[in-house]
Amino acid sequence: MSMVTELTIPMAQNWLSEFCKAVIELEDHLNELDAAVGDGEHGSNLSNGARALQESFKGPQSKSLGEFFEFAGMTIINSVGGASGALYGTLLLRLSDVTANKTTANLNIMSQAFDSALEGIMELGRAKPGDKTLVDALHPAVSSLIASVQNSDDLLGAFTKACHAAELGCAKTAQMEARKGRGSYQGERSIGHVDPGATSMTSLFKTLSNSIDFFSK
Amino acid sequence: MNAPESVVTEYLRGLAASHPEVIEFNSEARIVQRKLLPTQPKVGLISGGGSGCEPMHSGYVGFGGLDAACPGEIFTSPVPSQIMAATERADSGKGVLYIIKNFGGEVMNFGLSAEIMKRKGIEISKVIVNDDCSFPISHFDRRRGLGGTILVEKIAGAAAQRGDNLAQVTSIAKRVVANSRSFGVAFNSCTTPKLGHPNFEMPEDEFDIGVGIGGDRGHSRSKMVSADKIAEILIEQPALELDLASGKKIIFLLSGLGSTPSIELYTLSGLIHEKLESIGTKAVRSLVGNFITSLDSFGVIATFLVADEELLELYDAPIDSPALRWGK
Repeated sequence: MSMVTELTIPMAQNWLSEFCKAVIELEDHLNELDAAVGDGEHGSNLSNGARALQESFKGPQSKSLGEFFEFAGMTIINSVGGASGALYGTLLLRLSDVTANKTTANLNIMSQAFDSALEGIMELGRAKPGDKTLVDALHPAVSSLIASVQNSDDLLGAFTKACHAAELGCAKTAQMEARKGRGSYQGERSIGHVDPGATSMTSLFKTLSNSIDFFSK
Repeated sequence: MNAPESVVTEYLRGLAASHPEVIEFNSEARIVQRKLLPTQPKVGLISGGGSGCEPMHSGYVGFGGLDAACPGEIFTSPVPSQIMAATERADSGKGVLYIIKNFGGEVMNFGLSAEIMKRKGIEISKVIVNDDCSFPISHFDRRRGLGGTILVEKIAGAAAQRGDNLAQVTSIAKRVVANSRSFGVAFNSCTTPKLGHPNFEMPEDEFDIGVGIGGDRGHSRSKMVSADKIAEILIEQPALELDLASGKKIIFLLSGLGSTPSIELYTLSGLIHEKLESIGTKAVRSLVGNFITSLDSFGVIATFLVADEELLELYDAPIDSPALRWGK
């Protein structure tokens, strides 16, 4: 087993490919979660984006992580629709900005990239932690990454912890009252249901830690 | 429908086939656009939103209305590639106004598109429609764009047609938003094509108060009441916020949500007219029918716009679109 210290372009591609597969498998589940708090389309919309992204991976390989994430972000923005397309697209575009011209990114860079993604998402969606949105999975994951940089964790350890933080954050959304997006129209009645956006965001971290693990073997 | 995956495309093809002299469906860009470009340069108007709310917005494309509309997937905002294509189609050198309903996805996707189009040198202006007064003022940011959107599209469309510049058209659009309020009720939940069952259960003898479009639940649920009482519910908050007791003229829009029979709509319309007159307000124009819907929901949205002489004149100006056609 070799220690992986940096995210590479093949790993990034493996990650998003696995995320696409996961989203397509989760389509019905996400739709059902969304029907409880919104319009029942989160799974279908993200799956449309996942299929478009899978198709785009058949093209030539990107020359840098920045180029790869920019391309993925624009594909998501122009295929998903709704708030989730703009938000997931923004996340990928922010990863692109921080990894521009880089072929690899270590934990420090990835932590900065996800911190920038969180900032971009909170700015665009005007959501804060506790509003019962995908921010409630992303925010604890980013905090965990920043702590891992301080603790000098290895890449796999850091993203395993970040994934765990996202899972915990996502589970906590069940007890929250939605304050942003479609769910907010339900007020108190949104309590008791896990947020679909936080669920798909958790899957993004799960597939990333899986990919790092896969490349570590 | 044939299949959930193709229902939006097949609807758009059908709309274009039914109104070939007015609009066309640009299937590559996935936008609905005016068949004939304006003869004189004018401010362009575009809007867009989730499908399932027909005839909004594609039904309001045409002379005196929108220049292009961007239909998203069911209850999902359009994507920037559609919005940018619509912007380029609508731009004749005098800038483009984005008419955006206050839903997160629309605000974000039109916002992203505006930033990109401005960099390309097209002047963009935005109006956010939030005429829904079912949320209290303390939750102002949750107020959705409902029936007022149609009146913005009609009236700003007329202002653009008469030659107003972008700032003037935007100002007219904002005036319509500021002076309109909507309130909705629904008696069932709609069924989204992919989910295949109602989004939520609604007992037969109950109904939801404060609904929007998109299959969302209302704010509260009540035991069934008479049509008279429903007319009162629809009018109460708009009347309060628009200060309707003081002898104003209004344009009144009553839209079914997709499965509401005309006989019910006109019954309610009559009752609302009476109640308005009893408080000294006159509905001088009325639109009753399916103008903003939510798939197969059984319910209504009532919209009230306090109209001055200029807004009335612009409302009366000619329009030639699939869903509104007069004066031409």
